[in-house]
Amino acid sequence: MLYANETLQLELGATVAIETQTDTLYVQRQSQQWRLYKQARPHAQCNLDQALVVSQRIPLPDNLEMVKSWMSGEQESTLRIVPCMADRNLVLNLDKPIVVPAGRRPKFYLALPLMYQLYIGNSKQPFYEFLVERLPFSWFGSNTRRGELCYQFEAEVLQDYEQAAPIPHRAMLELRLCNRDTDHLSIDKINLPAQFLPVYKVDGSRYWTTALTITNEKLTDELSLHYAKSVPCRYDSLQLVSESRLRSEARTILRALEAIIG
Amino acid sequence: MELFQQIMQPLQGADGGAWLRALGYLVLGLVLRNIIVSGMRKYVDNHTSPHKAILFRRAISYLVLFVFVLIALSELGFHSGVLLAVAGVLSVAIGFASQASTSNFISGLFLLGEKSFKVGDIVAVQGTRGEVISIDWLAIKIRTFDNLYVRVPNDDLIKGHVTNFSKFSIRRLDVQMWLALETDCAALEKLLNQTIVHEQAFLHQPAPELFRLHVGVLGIQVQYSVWAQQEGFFTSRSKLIDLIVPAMQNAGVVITQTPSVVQGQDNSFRMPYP
Repeated sequence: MLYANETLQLELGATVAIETQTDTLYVQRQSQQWRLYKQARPHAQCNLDQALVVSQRIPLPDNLEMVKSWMSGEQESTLRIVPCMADRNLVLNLDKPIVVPAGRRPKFYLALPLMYQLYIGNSKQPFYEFLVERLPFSWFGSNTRRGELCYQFEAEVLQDYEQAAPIPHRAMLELRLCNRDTDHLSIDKINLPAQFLPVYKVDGSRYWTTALTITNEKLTDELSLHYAKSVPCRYDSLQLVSESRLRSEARTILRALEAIIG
Repeated sequence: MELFQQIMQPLQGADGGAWLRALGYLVLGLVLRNIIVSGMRKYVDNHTSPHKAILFRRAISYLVLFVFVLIALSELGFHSGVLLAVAGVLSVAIGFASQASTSNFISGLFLLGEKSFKVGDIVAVQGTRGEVISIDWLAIKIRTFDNLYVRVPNDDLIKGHVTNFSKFSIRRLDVQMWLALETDCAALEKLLNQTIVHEQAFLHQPAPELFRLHVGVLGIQVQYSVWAQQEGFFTSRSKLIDLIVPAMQNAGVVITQTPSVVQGQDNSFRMPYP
């Protein structure tokens, strides 16, 4: 299922510019085709102030690098810009370790970086997808042999989600850590399975994803991950913007301790 | 000669109908082989590695053909007992004549169990480096980076060293340099890390490190190590050098001349100075 978030109608020859932290993307409609150009900004000018600002009816600058073109053989005038979760897991390195005492289950909130997808016409497959923020790659695993390549991101660990201002390129996650072991659980980095999370738009202003519970089972090296069915916050209107990239066969899955918490 | 005549005798008694039936069985065998191989392709391709899929397909293909050739020969009047006896004699003779092939075949079975590499991996075997394009019962085939086709017998793989560059998803890039003795290595490490921090090609974890290796007549030998994805490794290495060398020059770090010495087999250096 696909739910359009931002839908734009472009005339022939019209161009739309979308700002990210590091680049400006130009999408131009031509006769029976669309073209995507990218212009990188110097490091000094890279910031998130203008992130996701969409400018319409602008002239296409000269000397742009064309990334790809879309040729369908039809006159398609619709461009949809849809947020979704990242295509890899997200790793959060905590400045200071969090210690969860034995038998406790604290919850906190994190803002997860989103990817955006561009769809042309009624296509169910995106033409292009991009990260708004520059997320470096990071290896998450017990050694360089076992582990996975993830995006590393920075976020504040919040006790109350109302402390956080809505950010268009982040989705809020409620994370509950349940320590059933008899020892304290110390966490210095955490691997969040972004590909299993959907994106919802709450009250037309803020993105949320479903709550995630990580349980440290008693006397074992295994963690169970439980995905909730809906968002944990209060809302008047809720819209599913994009479904999770991958589906877990059960809402609760088991993974080794070191695969989630470094 | 007598054995040959004994084997060929049934052919003289075979009529046209027997020949047609034998031909029919051969055609049926070919058709059945194609159906079975294409039928198992979907399953095998999804459930096993590419090289095992190739080997399974070939094994099944030869087995089906062998059975139908036996049936066709039976139709022509051959007795399967005689055929198997001949096959036994021939296999001993062939076995003696082709010890190398047998050795390669058995080595191939060991390789299959070891899973040291698979089709598509980049490997180095006895000075040959390239992409594995096929793993067969007797030999593997490698396409080198200058597009040469190299056949390496399985026996050589079992006896020698094989380096697989694609086994793990990430790899370390090492750049070794000699620096002037006055170099502040801690400050240099900070500078290098800041230089590459915005490049997506380099991983943040494991973190980059500047190893101080030696202090010698040429200055301090250091190694800057950065982790990158296996995919695009060579591009990442070029990018790393393109970034750090100008950054060091701008910061006034003096890279001393590379020592003009030859590394010996025993890892020692013939120094140009007494």
